[in-house]
Parts: sequence; C-alpha cells; structure tokens
Amino acid sequence: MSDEKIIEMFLRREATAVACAQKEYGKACMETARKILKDEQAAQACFNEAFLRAWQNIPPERPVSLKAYLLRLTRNLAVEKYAAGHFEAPATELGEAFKELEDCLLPPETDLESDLVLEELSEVLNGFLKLEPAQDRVCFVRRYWYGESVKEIAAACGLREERVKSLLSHSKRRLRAVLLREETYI
Amino acid sequence: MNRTRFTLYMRAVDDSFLEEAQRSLPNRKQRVLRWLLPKVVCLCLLLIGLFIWQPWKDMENAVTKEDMTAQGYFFEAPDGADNVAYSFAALENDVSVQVAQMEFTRSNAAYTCRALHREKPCNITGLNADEDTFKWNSRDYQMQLCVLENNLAWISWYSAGDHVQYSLSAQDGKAALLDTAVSLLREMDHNMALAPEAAVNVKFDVFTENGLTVTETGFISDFVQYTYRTAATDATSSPAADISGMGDYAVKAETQIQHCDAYLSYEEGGAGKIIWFDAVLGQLHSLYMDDDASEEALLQMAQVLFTGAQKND
Repeated sequence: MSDEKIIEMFLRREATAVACAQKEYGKACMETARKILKDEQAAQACFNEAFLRAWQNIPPERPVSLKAYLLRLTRNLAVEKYAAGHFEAPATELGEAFKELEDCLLPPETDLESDLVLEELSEVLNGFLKLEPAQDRVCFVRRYWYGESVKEIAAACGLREERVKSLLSHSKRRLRAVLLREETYI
Repeated sequence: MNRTRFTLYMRAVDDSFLEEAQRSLPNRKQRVLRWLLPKVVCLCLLLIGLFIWQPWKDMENAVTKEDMTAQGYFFEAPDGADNVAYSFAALENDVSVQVAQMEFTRSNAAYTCRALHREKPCNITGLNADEDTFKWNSRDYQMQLCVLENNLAWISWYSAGDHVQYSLSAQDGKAALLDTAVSLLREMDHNMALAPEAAVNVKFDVFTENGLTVTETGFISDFVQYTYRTAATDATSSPAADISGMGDYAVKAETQIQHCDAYLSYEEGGAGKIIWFDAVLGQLHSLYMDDDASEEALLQMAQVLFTGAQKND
C-alpha cells in the first residue's frame, strides 16, 4: 500500500491505519530500534511506542514520507532509552558510530549541563548538514545518527561501500573544520 | 564515551535531517539513468539532425575551382571577393542544361557569375533580357549590359575564341556591377575596353539619358581627367547624337576614327570632346577631356578606346 493511502487512513482515523503502517514499515522500524538498543524487549517497546505516537500525532501532523517519519520516531525513542538505561549494554552500531565521530569533536572544558551548549552544538551541526550535498548528508546522518553500517548505507543509497567510506571521511573532515572555526567543544 | 556528550550529540540534529536520511533515495541505477537519459536524448537528436542535414555529403559534393577548370570554365574571383563558392546549376529556362556557377560577395553585395559552352551568345543569367540592353565589343568579347527593375542588373560577355558565354548578375546597382565585372575580367586576363590600361582612378556609371542607356567611364591618364561614354542607338546615319553632356567649344573639326565619322570640339590647351558613331554596331561614343585638349590628343585617346573595343582579327 502506498504512503499516501496509509497517511489518508491516519487522517481519517481508520483503526486499520496502524496495522497497515506496521505491515509496510514495521520491519524497518524494528531493525532501527535493534541497531540502537540490542535488546529485543526494549526494541519492541520502542517499536510499539513509535506507532502509538504516530497514531497520536497524525493528524495534525502530515508527514511527507511515512517511512522516514516512523523511523525517525523509533530512532529518537531508542536513543532516549539507550541513553537512559542501557548505556552500559553491549556496544551497538550507534555507539560505535559515535565513537568514530568523537575523533573530530575536540575534548572540552565546557559545562555540559548548560542548555547553551546544546543550542550552540545544534546550530553548528545543523548549519553544517544544511550546507552538505544531499547524498553526503544522507550517508552522514544514516551512519552517525541511525548507526547504520557502511554496507547498509551503500545498499540503501545504491553506492559502492568505498564511495560511502570516502563520503563519510570527507564529511567528517569538513565537520572538524566547522567545529574548529566555530570553537564548539563538547 | 560520555553519556551526557552522547545525549547532547544525539539530540542536536534536526528531525528534518533524520527524516530526510530515511526517505528513499533513487538507487544508483536510477541516478545513472537520470543523469544519462537527457544526454542520450540530446545525442539522438543530434544524430537525427546530422542524418537529415548530412553535411558530409555537401563536403563530398562540394565543387571546386579545379572542377570548373576541368570542364573548361576559367573562373577567377575579383579583388575583394569573399565567400566564393562554386557549383553547377540547372539553367532556369532549360533545366537539362547545367551552367557552371561562381557565387561570391563583394562590398556586402551578392554576385552570381555563370559560364556555359555555347556556339553563339545567349542569355544564361536566368533573368529577363528586356529592351534596356546595351551591347558592345571589348576585344574578343561581345559584351551586353542589361538593367532591370529593382536595381537588378546583369552583364554578360561571350568569348568567341573558346565559345564560352559568361554572365554576372547582382542586385547591386549598375555601376557596382560594372566595376565588379571589370575586376573579374581583369583577373581573367582581359582588360575591358572602357579605359586605357595605364589609366588610374577608373570609375563607372550607367544611366539613362534621352532614352539611351549610357555607360560612362571616368579615368585619369597623364594627369588629365577623361570621361568616355558609349550608348547603343537605333539611329543609322551621321551626324550622331552627342551623349557627352558637354557644350560646344571654339575649335570644331570633323575627322574619322577607323570607319566612323567623328566630330571634335575643343579649346586649344583647354577642355574638349570628340564624338563618333559606329553605324555597324549602332553605337554612340563620346570622349571628353578637361585639360590639354587638342585634335591630336583627343583622337589619340579615342583611337585607343575604340581600337580596344574592336575584335582582334
């Protein structure tokens, strides 16, 4: 069933909308949750929570892509869960990805609890992503905010793995330059 | 790994980027197709255009000056000619006949010069030959000048020696056409008998006066300005009409230039004129000099011009 039809079902508040969405995108959402949490029960909880939130938020929200919307919800919920209680759990793809990116985030002597730090980091990161070419940006976000492997990104984007590695490496270098220029440390 | 840093970092990116990353991107094959398709379409259109146009065929079929020479047509573009192109074209009034053609531009005007092997003179211009036609001889060439409407004119010459009829046409004014014809003939080693070979500042004009088409050549020879006029007439007897446009002078005399009766009128050492009538061809001639006039000087220059116009028998 197409995205558009399922979204219409959400908008009309049809009870079968969630089931249809799960049928289409359930597997991908579950995979996303698993990648971050590595705990089947926690991943299932995230999965259920994501679809509940989608039901609650559509309408008034009307996503451009239902798949992207559901994956984003699942991912955000999984990240929250990961940071809250499962941080010391076995290493996940996302944890590995973050470690990889830590290289270009300089060690700070900053008050990490300050709201200003989040604000400043958000501004710099989003500013940087905005200026990245679409393909580079998609690969970068999939790797460092979804914790997808290079192989998965290559398959999803129709690129060779070497090309994905090269794109990620160049984006990292540019991010480091931006962070240095903006004097943003975390 | 620091939990606070990790949380900060994970929360720092806008949801719009997170969603964008999961929207389906066109796969590589699609992207290659999307990139390639317009180029393939352009290439196909280009190939179709080339197939229709077939410029290589033009190049293969391009007629050269050498091709003309091989057919016995000796074309030489005049001084200042540009965009010279050779071709063979069907004659307008008889498409079975192919004329050799040299097209060129000169002083922003387009000219067409044609040639055709013929036993006698004929009109190969593809244009009308109306009554406003002036014929004369220039050594071996039988010349003809025809002035049509809309500034259209043609000049033709028949070479009795090699039996080739030539023509030059243009919508460029009679004087310019005559000038181009003289230049063209000079390139073909023929000095049209409208001015002596050593003359300088040669200028041509063609105009109608008293119902006659008058060809005028102005030139300077030995620092004296001359004006030589010729016109065809139906008149058959002397004294001929005076086409010099000048009045009479104190000294008057009658003489002969070859077989023609000639009339002189001049101021000794000043201006003067001589007029003569070729009853055989029905041609009026006049020669005016603005200085140093004498019977001898006028006769000498008239003989040079008239002799040049005669056949080399």
